[in-house]
Amino acid sequence: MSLTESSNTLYELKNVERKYNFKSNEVLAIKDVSLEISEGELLILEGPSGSGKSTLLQMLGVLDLPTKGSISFLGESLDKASDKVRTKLRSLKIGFIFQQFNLIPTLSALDNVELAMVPTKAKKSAREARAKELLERVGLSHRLNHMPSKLSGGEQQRVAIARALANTPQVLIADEPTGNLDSESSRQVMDLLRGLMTQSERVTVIVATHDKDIAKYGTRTLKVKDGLLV
Amino acid sequence: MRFHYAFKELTKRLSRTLVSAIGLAVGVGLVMGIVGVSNGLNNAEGKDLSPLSSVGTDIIVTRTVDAVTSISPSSSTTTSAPSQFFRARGQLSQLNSTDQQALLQSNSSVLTDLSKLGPAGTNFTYDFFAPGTLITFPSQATSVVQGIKDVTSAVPALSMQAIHESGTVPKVVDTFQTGSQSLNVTTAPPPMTQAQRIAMRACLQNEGVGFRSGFQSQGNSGSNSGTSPTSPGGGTPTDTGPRSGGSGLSQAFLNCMPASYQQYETQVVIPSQTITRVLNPPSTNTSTNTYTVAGIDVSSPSSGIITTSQLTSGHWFDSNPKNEILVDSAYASSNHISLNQSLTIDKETFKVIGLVNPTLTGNTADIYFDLSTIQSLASNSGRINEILVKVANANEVNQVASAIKQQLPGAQVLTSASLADQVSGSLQNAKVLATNLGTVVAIIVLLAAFLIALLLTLSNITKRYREIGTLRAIGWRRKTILSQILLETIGIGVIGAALGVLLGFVATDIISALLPPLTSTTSGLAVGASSAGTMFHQTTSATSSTSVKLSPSIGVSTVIFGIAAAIVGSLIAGIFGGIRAARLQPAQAFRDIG
Repeated sequence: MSLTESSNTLYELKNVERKYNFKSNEVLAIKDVSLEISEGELLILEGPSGSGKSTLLQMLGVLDLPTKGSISFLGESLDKASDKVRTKLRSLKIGFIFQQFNLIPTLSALDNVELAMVPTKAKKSAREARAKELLERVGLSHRLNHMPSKLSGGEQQRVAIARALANTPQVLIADEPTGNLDSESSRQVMDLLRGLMTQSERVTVIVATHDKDIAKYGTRTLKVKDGLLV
Repeated sequence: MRFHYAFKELTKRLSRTLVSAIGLAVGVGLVMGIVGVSNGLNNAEGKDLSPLSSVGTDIIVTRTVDAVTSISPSSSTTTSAPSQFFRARGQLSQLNSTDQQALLQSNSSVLTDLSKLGPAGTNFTYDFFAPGTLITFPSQATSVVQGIKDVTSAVPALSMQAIHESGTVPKVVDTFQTGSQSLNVTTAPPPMTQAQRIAMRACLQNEGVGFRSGFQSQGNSGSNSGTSPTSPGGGTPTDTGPRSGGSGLSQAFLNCMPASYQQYETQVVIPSQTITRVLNPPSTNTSTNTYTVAGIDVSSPSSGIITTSQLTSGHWFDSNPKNEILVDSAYASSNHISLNQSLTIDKETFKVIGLVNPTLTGNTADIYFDLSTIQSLASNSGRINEILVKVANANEVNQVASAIKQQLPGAQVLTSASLADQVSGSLQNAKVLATNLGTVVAIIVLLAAFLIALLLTLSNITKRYREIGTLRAIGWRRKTILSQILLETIGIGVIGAALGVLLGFVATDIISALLPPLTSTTSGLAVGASSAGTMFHQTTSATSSTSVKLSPSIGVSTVIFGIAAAIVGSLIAGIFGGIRAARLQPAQAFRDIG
């Protein structure tokens, strides 16, 4: 599969369905979703907890595949993409931001950012320079060697954003990025994400949230309810 | 980066790392301890089983009373000179006359009649020497062995048991004289019988004594003889007695009295007699100490039952070895004997010229003399009871042993291989225990350690679902995850190996300190005991027990084994844990954290 861009359409989802089997019960987390996402968008997926937005986010992040329907990313179908191909896509084209930051607790802020560049096999000096640049960009140049436990929630999320940007991705997938932050930190994080799409990289940002206040940052907001876009 | 990450994981989560590492270390340490003990037992056994090679000897030729089956016709008819010394085997009655004489001669120096040491009350110090069960044989046998093909050297030795006695000669006998007394016996004779009277009258009549008629009625018997003796001289000695004249009558009476009347006033003299009575038990303060001695060929300092290599201090025998001795360092230590000290043995003075550490288990002596000196002391001139043989090639040992048996029928030929079959005792038991139970325990302990490491790793993986899921989400491949987990567990393995090796040394030290000394019993090569030992209430046995202080040894190979075991354990844990981590679906981890 080629990873080169062929059009402005980043994602194309057609009749996507995701079914989970919990013991003997079938749970349909996503029901017949069709969606296109273009480059440079800041897409907000808004919905209550359990609505299916995180499941949709995982499929957009190539972490999971639909049980029905098809997804194409950068013009290529992911239906039969191997784990190896999907892993490579995630490492080079997609960045992730999690509600609980998911930083490695035993590594410093700088190391956490560098860690994302391990799959690229970049040299130590190049990794370190890029990590410092990104941490400076998110306003943490003075926290390079701090351990996550020594950083505030907002700072940790900014380190996570720097990590997500390490390999110059085309998409940032953010699952409840402000879920564990106070309003000030939330604002800082969302400003940072909005700035990314307006800067030269023109990173597409997809945010899943249940917070209606976050929706105002998006260029488009889709409401998710009971596995459907409404 | 990944090494840095692994290092940080190990150091920042130190308690978890240490728990995993200690789990491995305990297993490795215990296994190393067991291996160390097993090595110690092997070393002890090797020391025990390889006494011959340790002194540059391949074969020992001896002759024991008990080590016999039957006499083969070919052996008994062998006509070569040595066969005369070795022909008969077995019990004393089976020995030929030369041997019988030699055996009795060898052990005859032991004195049981202490009275022969001097008059009662005399203080004495005496050393008796006896070859015991190792029967002596003429030293010419050495040259016979020397003549066998592939024999490099044959060195004679005379090992004996010595009994040192000191004390006061006891009063063992009581001598007194009887007899020489004179006795006077007076008693009334019994009345004459009728026959005696008739005989007497006839006698008197023959002597010319006449009898009156009244004589007959005066008899005390009341019998009626019918006649009375009448004295020829007409005199009357009594009113009723026979008549006879003067001294002629008395003489006639003396002549004619019955023999029993004639002997009544004989003087009795009791014959003089000296009676010696054995006092049982004799009263004595005699103290007895036993020790072993050996006579060696001092001109062969590099082979024999003791060699220069076993000297721990002092020097070898010089050109005049007559009054020189070497003393076993352990015996010297326990008896407070020091180098250059003079010892009196059998009334002769000997100088301790060296202390030795003999290694020939089952055939060591406390004191070593020049061969001719001990032959002289033990009245065994020209006789030996051991030949230590060195063979040119180790492969020829059995062949040479067979040749010796053929040349010297009746000889007991001992090689390292045959000695191995004769070793028993707690050392052997411990060896068997270490080999069997120890191996099983070691395997179980090691498997348990591996299992602990694996479970801790899997537990750790479970706790790190979010972290691993994140790594997968940001593009880490499965094999990268696997190798990362492996790196971490190998790190734990290295720490576990270091701790385990340390623990192994500590464990062996503890085992070494706690384990009681073991005994190794070697049969068939005992010196002394037997007849002399029996006399002094010592055990008669053709075995020799050696106390073996176990020294567990951890060699380089054991350390390498310990390290390898820890690494293998960590690898197993890492592979299983890594596979589990690598199989983790990033989406599943995402859900768990979402």
